Amino acid sequence: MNANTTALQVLLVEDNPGDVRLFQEALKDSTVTPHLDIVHNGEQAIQFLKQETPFENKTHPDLIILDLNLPRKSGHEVLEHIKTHQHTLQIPVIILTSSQAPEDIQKAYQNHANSYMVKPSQLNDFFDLVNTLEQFWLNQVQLPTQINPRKADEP
Amino acid sequence: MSQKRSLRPLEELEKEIEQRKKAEAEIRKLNEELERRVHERTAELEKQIVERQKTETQLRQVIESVPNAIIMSDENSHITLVNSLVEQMFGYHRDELIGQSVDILVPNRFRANHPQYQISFLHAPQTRAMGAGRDLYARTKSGNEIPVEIGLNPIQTSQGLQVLSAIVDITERKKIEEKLEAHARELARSNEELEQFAYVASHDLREPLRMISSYVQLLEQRYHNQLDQDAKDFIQFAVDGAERLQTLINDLLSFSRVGTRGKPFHPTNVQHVLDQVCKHLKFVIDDNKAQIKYQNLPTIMADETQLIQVFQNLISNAIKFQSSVSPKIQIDAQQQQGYWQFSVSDNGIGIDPNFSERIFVIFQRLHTREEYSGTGIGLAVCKKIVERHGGRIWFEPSPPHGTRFLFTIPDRSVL
Repeated sequence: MNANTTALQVLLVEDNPGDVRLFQEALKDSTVTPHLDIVHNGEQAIQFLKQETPFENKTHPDLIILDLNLPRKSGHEVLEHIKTHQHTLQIPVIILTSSQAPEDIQKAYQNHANSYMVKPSQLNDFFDLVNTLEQFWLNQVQLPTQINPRKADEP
Repeated sequence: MSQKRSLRPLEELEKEIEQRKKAEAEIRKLNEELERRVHERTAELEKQIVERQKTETQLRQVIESVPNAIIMSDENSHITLVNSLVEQMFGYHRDELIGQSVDILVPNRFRANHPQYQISFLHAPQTRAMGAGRDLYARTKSGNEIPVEIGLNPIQTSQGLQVLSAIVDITERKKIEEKLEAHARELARSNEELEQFAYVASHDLREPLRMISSYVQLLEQRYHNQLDQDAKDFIQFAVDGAERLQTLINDLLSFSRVGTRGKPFHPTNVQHVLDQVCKHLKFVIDDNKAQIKYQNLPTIMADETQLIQVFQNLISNAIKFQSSVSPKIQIDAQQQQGYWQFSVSDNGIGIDPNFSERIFVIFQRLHTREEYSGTGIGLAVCKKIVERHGGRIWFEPSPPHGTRFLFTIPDRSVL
């Protein structure tokens, strides 16, 4: 359905290069290749969303994939920032972390995370997860950034 | 008449002399008697005085030799009597203390409040410990402060109300108490640190481990056609190792969670706990045609989730280590003095009693991985949970070949 639109923008907030690469590898098999922006800590994530240097040319992403255990500013802090600021709160945020701690899960949803996923330890499970993410959030879901005002005006 | 008198003057005289002599003898006798009595009485009194002095000396000695410092003070808090221990403890000679206010022995910083306590004591004088709930200190002549315990006793005397204070120097006891407290704190801290360490370690170990197994698997997938059988075997060993490490880390995590994630104790129906366990283990029980028997189990104060864990581990062990006949497992409870004793008996392969200590140690296994799966965490978790509840766990043979695991949980309902 996105064939004739520009590629969707995904912001990946992940400090582990191994995980970043794994995510990229998983996307290689995908049908719709989104445009992937990557930042490596919580502070950068917030700068990105505020379009501060060096991200002044970046637009708001359609979807954010957020790790929790991040240097400088934790994923929880980034999430809270996103969901308490008018211009970012509508962006879906997927938590993708290795933490299974009940308190992390609860806190994430209390801060309005759109879903919480645990990084699987098996490669194929990880690929399946990225695939599912992509299928659901980039194919089946209507995202707020996709709303076409001309369409809405049609009778 | 005169004739008569003149008639016998000599006779009469003689008679009178006789009588006088007699009277004199009697008086002398009386005198002697009196003197003897006075003597006796005097001796008696002297004896009494000696006795009394002896008693007083004894009393004095008692006061001097009691292991407490003793101070007597009057209604105006002036010291009227001290014993030698007071001199030793405070470094004053008794002459320097008698007549002084007791405040001389109170550290400056407490002096302001002292009168109000004195007044309240004199209003309701009764034997009691001084300064309940407060740490008491006394001041010596050199200005040092010593921690003390003071017992107060009001005494009515002919000179009015006196207060007898018995003072114990508790410096040594304080030192020991502080040492013990420090020890307990240190132990709790290192315990907590260890649990925290296990938690953090197992949590942080997962990340790199996930990288290892993911990339080895990616290598295998992407280069499948370029790898020979040896390369594929080697990769399989690496993947297996990573998987096992993953399981160990998960177990370590659950082991550390016994302490860090334990919940408060609530009334827990053990019958219901066993129902739950059987539900969780339904497939294992059915597959192995195991019989689990339990009835009339009590309600005890426990962490239900953890109690489920204990029974689940013990029962799945009993099924896992079955002998050639199908597993029969019996759970019983016995009320003992102050605790409940639970037992899980099986007809399995039994355990060599030589391993009685080892089997409860984390990651200890008695069998190879090929014989029986598992990391050796189950019984270590059981032990930790039982100990967290204040009980203990052990095993004994269950004739003819099986094993009976027993554990106790204190009966908190009686508290």
